[in-house]
Amino acid sequence: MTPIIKATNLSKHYGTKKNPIKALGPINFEINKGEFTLILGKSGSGKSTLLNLLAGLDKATNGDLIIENNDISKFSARKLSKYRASIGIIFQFYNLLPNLNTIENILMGAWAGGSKANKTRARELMKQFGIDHREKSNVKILSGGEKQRVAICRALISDPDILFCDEPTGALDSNNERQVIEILKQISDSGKTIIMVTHSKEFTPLSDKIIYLRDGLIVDQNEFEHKNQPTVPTTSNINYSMPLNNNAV
Amino acid sequence: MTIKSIFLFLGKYLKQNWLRVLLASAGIVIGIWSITLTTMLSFGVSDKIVTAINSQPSARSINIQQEESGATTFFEISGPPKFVSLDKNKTFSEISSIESVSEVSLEENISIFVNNNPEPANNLCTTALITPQQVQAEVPADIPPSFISEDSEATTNEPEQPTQPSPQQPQSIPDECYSINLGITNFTQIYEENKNDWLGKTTAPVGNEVIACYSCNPQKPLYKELGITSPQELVGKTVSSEFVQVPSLLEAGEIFDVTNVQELNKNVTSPQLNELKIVAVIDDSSDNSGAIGAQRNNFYGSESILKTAVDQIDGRDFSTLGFTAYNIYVNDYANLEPTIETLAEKGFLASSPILLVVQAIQTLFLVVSIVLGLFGFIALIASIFGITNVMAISVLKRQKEIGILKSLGATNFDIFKIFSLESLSLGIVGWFIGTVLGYISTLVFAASLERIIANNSGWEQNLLELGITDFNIPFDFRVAIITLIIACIVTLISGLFPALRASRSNPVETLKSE
Repeated sequence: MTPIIKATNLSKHYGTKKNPIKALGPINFEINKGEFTLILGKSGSGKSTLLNLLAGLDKATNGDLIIENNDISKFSARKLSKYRASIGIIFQFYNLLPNLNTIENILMGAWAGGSKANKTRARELMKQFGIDHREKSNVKILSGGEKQRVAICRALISDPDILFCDEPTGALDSNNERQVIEILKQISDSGKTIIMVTHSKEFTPLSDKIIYLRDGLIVDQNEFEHKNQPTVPTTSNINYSMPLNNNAV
Repeated sequence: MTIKSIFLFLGKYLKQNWLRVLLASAGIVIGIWSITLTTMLSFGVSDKIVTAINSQPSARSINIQQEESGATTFFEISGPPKFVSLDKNKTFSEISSIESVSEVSLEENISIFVNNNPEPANNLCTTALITPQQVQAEVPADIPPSFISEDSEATTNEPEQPTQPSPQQPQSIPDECYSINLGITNFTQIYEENKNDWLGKTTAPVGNEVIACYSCNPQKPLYKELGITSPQELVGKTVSSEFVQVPSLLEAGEIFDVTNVQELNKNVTSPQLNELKIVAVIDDSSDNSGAIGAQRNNFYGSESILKTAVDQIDGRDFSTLGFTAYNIYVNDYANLEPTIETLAEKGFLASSPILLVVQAIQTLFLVVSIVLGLFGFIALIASIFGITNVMAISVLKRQKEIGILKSLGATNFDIFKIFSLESLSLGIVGWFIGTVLGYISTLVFAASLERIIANNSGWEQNLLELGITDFNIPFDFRVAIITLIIACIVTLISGLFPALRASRSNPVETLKSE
């Protein structure tokens, strides 16, 4: 099976050529289509750097990074913009646009890339994730969990094949965290490829693969046959109509 | 990014930061306000003046001569003076063919002007020549009567009224109506110095033709001696005089001067009665203008004398002698300049003093408005720095939004567009407010002026006679469009650097910012 993502001698350095600061690599790995891959590691291990390279937010210094048969490490700025429009990204602190309301933020996920997105699709997503009652609300007044769900809807508005998540539950309380985990599980079950950077081991049962990083290098890679451990709640346990815990960040 | 999303994003931001937008565009407001006020005011006042001038019929007139005359003083003449003439038939048809010409008025006298000093002769000639019927009789049949001015007035110093000639038998132009005016002060001296090359050759002592000097001798001018009142009366007259014994004592072209003759008579022992025909008259009398030493400097003679003289000097064919100047009226002031150009193409020397005055006034007001508008322009230039600063701060404050948009797929150019449009919106807002304030200011000015005038009935009446009924200054869309363009250019320049900087920012770094 051809991997959807393949990294070969991928590395990222900062600083000057004379005094480079190595942040990542060289690393090699593959991710297949539909896999839920976790990237684990302590702070400073290079997780976020790797995710930035995979999401096209940054360019590798050396090596190849082939995603859906395109070597994005060689892309120009314009092509990288186009690539970013074709994927979904979920951030730890949501990164919503403060001047727009909920549905506008979701639609911007498609508009920013130059695509037309209709409101029907956005409303379907909002309904699926229990935020349809917040359609016209300004995102500043939403709770953390609601904001993250808006971010998830935004990431899915263009129906991307790959979803990148940078600590999506890092700013949420436990209740909201569980809900988001469940959402991501649903997304993974729908066949989408998810690559997630996280500290939390709550996602371990959901994952197909775990990549362990330390000091910018892969120290271990594990693949699992399966996921769905009972430590996470199932869909029937979650009532999206109930007010969420507003203590989330 | 789609256009809709750019405007949505920008619109929401501007709506929520309206106060910052207003304050940032203050410099633009002041600049546009100043430019709008000064230019609309100057154009408006200039238009009122033009309206006043245009209300006078003389404003639509053009003076026309066929050729440029010679030098202005005798001493500058290197050759014989140039004569100016117009062929009335040819000229008339050419002028009448111009569409914008509404009527043609003829000069009130027939003179051959030299050196552009058309001191008209006494108007004995006018009655015979410029009545519409007379003119019509003298022009080709295909010239429409409407082109003949009905306004031509026959003025005359003579108490007698001239006989109106029948159109079928046009009256010939009397000899006394021909004259030469050299426009120089010492005509007598000039004549003395040039008579041999000039009219001196045309007179034949045997034929007892003499040149009479009308008032060359201030102590004993001839006209007083003979009891006549105008130079033209002498032309063609036969004078019986005991003053001269024999004509042969007068050389060809000799000026017939009483003093001169008395001198000649000193040795006369047997006076004889002689008849002398005065074929030409020199008129050096004062022109009563009040200027010291101002003289008429006319030279009157029969047609044959003048033609011969001219032939001697200039070799010009005067067989088509006609009216020497035309006044043309156009049907609309706006056609004045195009008609002058058309006349110039046909070879006429056409000018309109009123047009020159109006153009001078308009130029003056344009210069004034430019100078005053410069103050507004300086305010606009100064605002560049302010807006650049505001936009730079805006980019800094919204680094995270830039990163978010980029992470969602916005290109560098999309970001550049967003911030360029933001700075452009400052210009448009400033332009709108400045234009409204500027126009309101002109209305206030007009109302104030009307109030002042209303308190002075004399002014109001005078202005009404000039066709000025109000001081309303209409909104000039040209000014608005030009100021809009200026405002857009200024603000785009201002926002250029911040927008470029925003577009080139690194998404990873911008996402990290607070």
